[in-house]
Amino acid sequence: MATLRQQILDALLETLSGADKPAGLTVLKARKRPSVPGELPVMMIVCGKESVTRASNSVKSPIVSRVLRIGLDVWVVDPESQDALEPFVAWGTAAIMDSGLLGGAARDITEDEIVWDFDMLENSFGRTTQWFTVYYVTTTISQEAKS
Amino acid sequence: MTTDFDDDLAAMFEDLPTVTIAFGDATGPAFLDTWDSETLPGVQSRGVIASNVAISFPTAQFPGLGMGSALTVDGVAYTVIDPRRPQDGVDGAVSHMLLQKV
Repeated sequence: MATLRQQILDALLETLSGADKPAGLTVLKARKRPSVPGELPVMMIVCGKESVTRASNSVKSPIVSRVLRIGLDVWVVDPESQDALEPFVAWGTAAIMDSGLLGGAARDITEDEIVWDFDMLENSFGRTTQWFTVYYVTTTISQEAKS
Repeated sequence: MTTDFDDDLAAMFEDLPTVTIAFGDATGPAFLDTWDSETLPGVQSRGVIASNVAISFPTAQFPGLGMGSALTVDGVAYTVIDPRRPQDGVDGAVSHMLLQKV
């Protein structure tokens, strides 16, 4: 059985791959190999830090609260890189915040920050990393169970 | 002592493989250098591998070529994005510039 984290990441991938996705955008979970210009624009879902706390003060608390940072890395190749990134960043926000808490997998989701970066080689490239925090719970002893 | 540096420079651009630059009404030879590098790495993933393009040419042949100049290299349109001259360490006789495709 998948962990709740995996279920959240799978729900994110499904949400961001929906019918309203901007034309030409490829969405996938983080991969290790680099991209090439012909593959852009591409959006990758990455996991950041996850913190875990007991849901009550009891040492026997059966539930823990989990706070998971999730990033969306987006790359484009375009002479106007910032303009080209805007619809993808807007899509990330709209799709996640309108997802019904990822189909109920999460208890809450917040958008935290967006980081922009640009470079010029033979072509112009741009990248954003859009950070979200996903709140969810699991049982204390199993990351696969909510209760 | 006299030197024939200008002659040597001309011979170098005549004898070695070059491309043809066109800038305004001027045309002339240049050395073309291309290499790949990786840029904009992600949070937990690799970035994008893409080409860099640079030319080296006799400075006197294109005195007006600089940042933002439009030129062609063997018929392909580029813009100068990083002009750095001189690069020969002597008298600025050779310029070296990074280009971006238009």
